[in-house]
Amino acid sequence: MLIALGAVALGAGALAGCSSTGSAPAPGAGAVGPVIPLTSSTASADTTWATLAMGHLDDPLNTFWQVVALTAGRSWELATPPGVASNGGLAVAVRPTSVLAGFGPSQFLRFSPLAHTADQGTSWDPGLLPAGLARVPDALVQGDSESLALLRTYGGAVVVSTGDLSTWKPVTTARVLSRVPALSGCGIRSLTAVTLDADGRPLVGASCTRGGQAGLFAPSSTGWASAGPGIPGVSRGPTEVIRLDQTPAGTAALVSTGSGIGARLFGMWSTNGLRTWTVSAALALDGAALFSTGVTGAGGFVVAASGGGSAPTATLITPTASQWQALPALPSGTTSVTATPVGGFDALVPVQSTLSVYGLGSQGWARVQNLRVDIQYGSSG
Amino acid sequence: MPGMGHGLQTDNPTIAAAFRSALDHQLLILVVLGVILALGWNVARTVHYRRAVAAGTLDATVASAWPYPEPAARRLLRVAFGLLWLFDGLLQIQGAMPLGLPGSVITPSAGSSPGWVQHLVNVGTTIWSDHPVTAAAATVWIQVGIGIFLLVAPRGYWSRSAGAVSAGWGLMVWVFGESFGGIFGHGSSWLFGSPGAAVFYVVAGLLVALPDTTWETARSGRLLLRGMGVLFVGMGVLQAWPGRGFWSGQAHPSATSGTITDMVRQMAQVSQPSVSASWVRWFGSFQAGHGWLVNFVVVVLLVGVGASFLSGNLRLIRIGVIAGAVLCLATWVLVQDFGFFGGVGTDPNSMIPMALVFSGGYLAMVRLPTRSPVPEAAPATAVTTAAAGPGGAETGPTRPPNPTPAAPAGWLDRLHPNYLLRSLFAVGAVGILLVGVAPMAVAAANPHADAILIEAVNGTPDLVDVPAAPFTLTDTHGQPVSLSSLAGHTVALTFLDPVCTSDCPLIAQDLRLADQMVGTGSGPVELVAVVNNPLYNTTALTAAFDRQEGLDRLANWTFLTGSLGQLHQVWNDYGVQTEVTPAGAMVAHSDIVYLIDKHGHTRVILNSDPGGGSAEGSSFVGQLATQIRAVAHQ
Repeated sequence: MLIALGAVALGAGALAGCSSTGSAPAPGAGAVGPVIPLTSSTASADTTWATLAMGHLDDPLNTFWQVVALTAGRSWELATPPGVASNGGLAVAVRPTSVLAGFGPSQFLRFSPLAHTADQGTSWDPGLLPAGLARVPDALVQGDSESLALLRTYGGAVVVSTGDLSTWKPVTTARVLSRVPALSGCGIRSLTAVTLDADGRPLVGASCTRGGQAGLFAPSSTGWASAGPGIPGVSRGPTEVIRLDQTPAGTAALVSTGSGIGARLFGMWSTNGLRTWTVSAALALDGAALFSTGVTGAGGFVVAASGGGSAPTATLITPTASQWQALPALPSGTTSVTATPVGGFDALVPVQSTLSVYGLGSQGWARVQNLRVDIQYGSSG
Repeated sequence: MPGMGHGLQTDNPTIAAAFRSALDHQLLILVVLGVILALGWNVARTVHYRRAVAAGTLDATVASAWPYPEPAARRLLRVAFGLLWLFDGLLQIQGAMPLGLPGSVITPSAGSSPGWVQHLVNVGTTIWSDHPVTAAAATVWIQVGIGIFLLVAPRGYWSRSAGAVSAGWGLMVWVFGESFGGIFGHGSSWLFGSPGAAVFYVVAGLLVALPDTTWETARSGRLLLRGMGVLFVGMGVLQAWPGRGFWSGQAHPSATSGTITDMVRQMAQVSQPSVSASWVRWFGSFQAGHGWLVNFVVVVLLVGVGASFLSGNLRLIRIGVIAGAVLCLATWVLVQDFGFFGGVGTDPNSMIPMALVFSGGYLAMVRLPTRSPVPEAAPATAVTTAAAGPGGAETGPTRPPNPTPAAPAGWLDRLHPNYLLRSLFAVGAVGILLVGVAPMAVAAANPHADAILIEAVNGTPDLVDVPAAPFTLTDTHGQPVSLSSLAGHTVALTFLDPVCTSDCPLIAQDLRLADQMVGTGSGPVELVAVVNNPLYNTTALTAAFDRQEGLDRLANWTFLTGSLGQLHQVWNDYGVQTEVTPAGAMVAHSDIVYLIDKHGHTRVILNSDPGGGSAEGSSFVGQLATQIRAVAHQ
């Protein structure tokens, strides 16, 4: 009888113990090309905005993403919008007059709060997305009268808001685009970036499983059309749009081709409404993994990668350069390499609550600033 | 408070006090049971005496029901494991047991096991974590009850039942408490307790549960020793297996110690008498310097002892038993450090039970009972003494039976007084068992964690009777909602951050679950939340939160917001703290629930911090439902 009672208790316990946990799909997991790092920066003539992770980077609940800003002639300052836990990541969209930041979902929060500032981060207005923001650097973009956001649902869904950043309407999704016959050569896997071109039209970047053509799509009179160029020397295979931005040099895209040890990067620019593109030389990654990407004030790209048997490196491509230019060996612990508003480069080295900034001078990298960040450890768990 | 961290320590005074209280109450029940049984014994003995006087059989010797006394091997296993269960039960009284057992004992033992073992063990851990006081107290009485049951019932149905219960509970402990003794995990070693102490309790219990005829030949002992021989040889091979880290005192050049050294040094850190700590430290140092030698000796002894058990040769077996006992004793003291120090030790580990089992096997071979001739007309008490010769002779001298007069007519008259007394003791032992099993079964069937858990985290609810501060705010549809408009309803009022990533969604779901528990029997209940974030407080955000949590479909749920001035007024009126913190942290704010009765009076204030685990959350739901019911009827 006692054993029977024990069995009853056990059975009841089995019911009580049944539970399941769900988790959001890991952004970038299983990507075709290099995993797109969320650590990123965008520079203009006035200010550079960068996002990077700080805190205890081996503990998700004590990893807090920060926005830092460097205004010309000043030092780096913390500009993380307050009021929301940033453990799920941050993405920013920069305009000369305003910045829009989006929080990635984390723990039990499944939609993305937004924060908008028109005074360089002195005050922020709230907004929200109906779902989780895609975990890519260019998931948000602001136009004159509308904002676009890339959500992580359905392999990527683009939504638009023309009002208070709380009401959004669907524009397209990866699933819809994959059914467009004109785009079938791409084999869309997911959407990876969004921007507005010089005319204010949406431009969507994608991860393509085949085709050898940059996965860039823009609305046309008949729906959606491919707007990306073919890539010299690449006739087929996967491509992935890593960065997509409107710059002084036109619409700029950072695109990867191939995968694994054969992955290469290309910068590409269009100044005539996406009709033609200038494509840079290739940068072979040789198996290294990207850990940060930055858009320079002139519309170029600075990328940092590590692994593949070599030390971490940073490399620059500008719209006018014929070749990628390697920067000097990075300081130890660098997680982000950014362009500065005045045309220089900074390496950001976070160590828990301290962000060390190394500027690139004629003698190489030299520490120029230590920024103390008051991280609230334990506040998210 | 979200953003401030929380948790439940194993020495939580609320839980410790509740544990002591539960044990005291259950002890009181057992005292009453003891008194009842004593009265029963007195009545039965009196009736028995009077009937014997009336029948003129007062001086008669009532025959024993058994043709021979309890076999020595069975007696060893029964008494020794009875004492072990008693000791284990007393260890369970340690104050850290309710909260410490899952985290300090169960989970670590499952840590190196495969996923399916961890999942299975998690079932037991969940029950314990949800009902720590009940489970810990129940375990005390179950183990004490089994121990007494084994000790007081030497023969017959009661005794075999005690063996079966011992085996059944041992199996539960082996699976859920010891994760199958770690046999599915990597790095398991005989020295560290593999294949688990409880498995020997199971074996011993099964042997005690077997019929008496099992012990009449040497076969059972031989089989038992063969099984132990296979175990010893297998453990020796595992111990000798290259690459498992046992051949070196230092794991590798950059490490400070090897596997056995690690274990020994960890044991030395445990709170214990200085003498045993110094022994263990000494052995740890010796092992670090002579790791190969120690492992070589252990491997040789394990294989040698196992081989002797498998040989079937009684002389070799005797040497193996002695060597095995010495090895077990040395391992128990120098490696396992007695097994029960440190505040959450649950048993003396595997060496003592293992030594008892193979010693029992040896006795079962060499000390056999002999069935005595029983006179037909006069049942006799036969006593057999040990008489095994070399090779396991199965006969021995027998004391002649005592003659008895004719048996009386009634069933009571046929009972031997000693048997009656032992039966009453057995009933008492079963009573002790039930005092543990019954609440454990009820707790296991209850999916909601005990309220004591959340009281341990948040304290007891404040009972008050003051008018609730009025407010008028805006719901997710933009409509004004005032507290006065909710008159006639019991209101559960809380304060939530719509973009909170941790506590707030849990608190909202706790409110919903508590409301479901309350049902419709307590009148209308309104669940009302007020935004508690000075930056993210638009109706779009409250609506998004409701959609996220599925609360937009709940008719009696309302999430209110307002202008910052209105919100500050409500926060002030209800003593809610809000702090915007920098650098990517969420807004820190109070976790609190006000229960307002249908007349607009605040009656209960609860801290709604959901704690650090699902058990605390479940506990809060039960507490909240209880309080809502109470307020609804005020």
